[in-house]
Amino acid sequence: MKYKTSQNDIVNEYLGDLDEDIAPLFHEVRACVLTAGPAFNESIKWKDCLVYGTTRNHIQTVVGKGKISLIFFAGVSIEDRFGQLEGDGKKTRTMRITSPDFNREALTDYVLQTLQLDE
Amino acid sequence: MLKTSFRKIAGIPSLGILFFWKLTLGADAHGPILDRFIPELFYDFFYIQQGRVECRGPLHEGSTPLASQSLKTLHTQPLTLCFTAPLVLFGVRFSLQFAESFWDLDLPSDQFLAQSWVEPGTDQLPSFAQQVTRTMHKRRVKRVAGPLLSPALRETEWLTRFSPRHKRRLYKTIFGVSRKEIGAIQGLHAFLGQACDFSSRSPRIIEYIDDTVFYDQPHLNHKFTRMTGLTPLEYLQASSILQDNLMAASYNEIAAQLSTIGP
Repeated sequence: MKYKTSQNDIVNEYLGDLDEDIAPLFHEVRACVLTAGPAFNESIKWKDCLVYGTTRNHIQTVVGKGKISLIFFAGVSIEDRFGQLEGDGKKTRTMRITSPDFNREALTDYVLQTLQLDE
Repeated sequence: MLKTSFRKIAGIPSLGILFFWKLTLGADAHGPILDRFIPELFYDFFYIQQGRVECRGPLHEGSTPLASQSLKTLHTQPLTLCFTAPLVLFGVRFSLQFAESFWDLDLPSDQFLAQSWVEPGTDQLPSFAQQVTRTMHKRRVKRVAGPLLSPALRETEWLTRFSPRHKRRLYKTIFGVSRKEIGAIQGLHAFLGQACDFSSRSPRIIEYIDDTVFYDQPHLNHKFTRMTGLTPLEYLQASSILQDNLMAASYNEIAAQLSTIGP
């Protein structure tokens, strides 16, 4: 499967080890995040969570059964124009993605807002 | 925006080398970059090819600049490394087995020991790995008659024949820490080694607590905060460029070794 390799070998190992069932969707989501936020550094935290961060962690990706959860650590500050964010905690909000026709516009918007919050 | 790259190549398990690595931080960082380290059961050799690294922690007074080549011994408390970019940092991650053949008499905990293993000017990862391997082969000595711990960190049969007092002495002399401290760090990573999804409405840390290691969530939080300086959730959100990569790579290597060697 073709995907953009990371500058980080641990991330490449992680991507290479993904289950075939979820890998295509994961690569789609990753491509969308990196297109919206090319400034992100990717790394693996706690063995199997892919995180996107600049000087701190912003988004955590968790793979579940047939779904990918994107946890926005500062999600409460994101204006949710698309109604895709779940959660009612004090800080984080989650976007759950289960199919390849996920709302790319929403994800792009959330990522851009996340990066703006960092400035 | 800071650009980072982390590269690694396979180590040599027979020498206790898990992997060799190279971290590059771009020149576009504004100010120093802080990298938080939590206690781990690994030794690290650092070679600063370009840039500057300082060490801050409760056991290191103020901010101490690291020697261009230094060995990080086992730490029992959190530690912050302060990077000045542009930075090119090479390193080797060692398992506990390394301590059993380390050539200096003492390997005290919570220290950075100045070393001279590679030629200054080395700037390629394979060449760095070759020089470290050569140094290891040349200088390593057998400090104990048999291995103290198995890859799964259980006491070996060789060790069990000694008295508790002698075992305590061996642990301190060889690893620089006690069996209890090794157990505490092991427990911390038993928890961190699991995937935690904190995204649901109520965080589900409790589901991931191994009750053979921690009684309950407050017990985990107390131990975690004492050893890392952060709560589990704060730790997840904190960015740590080098430590995150080293930890993730170590988990992979250890899992691979355990699957081939067995406990």
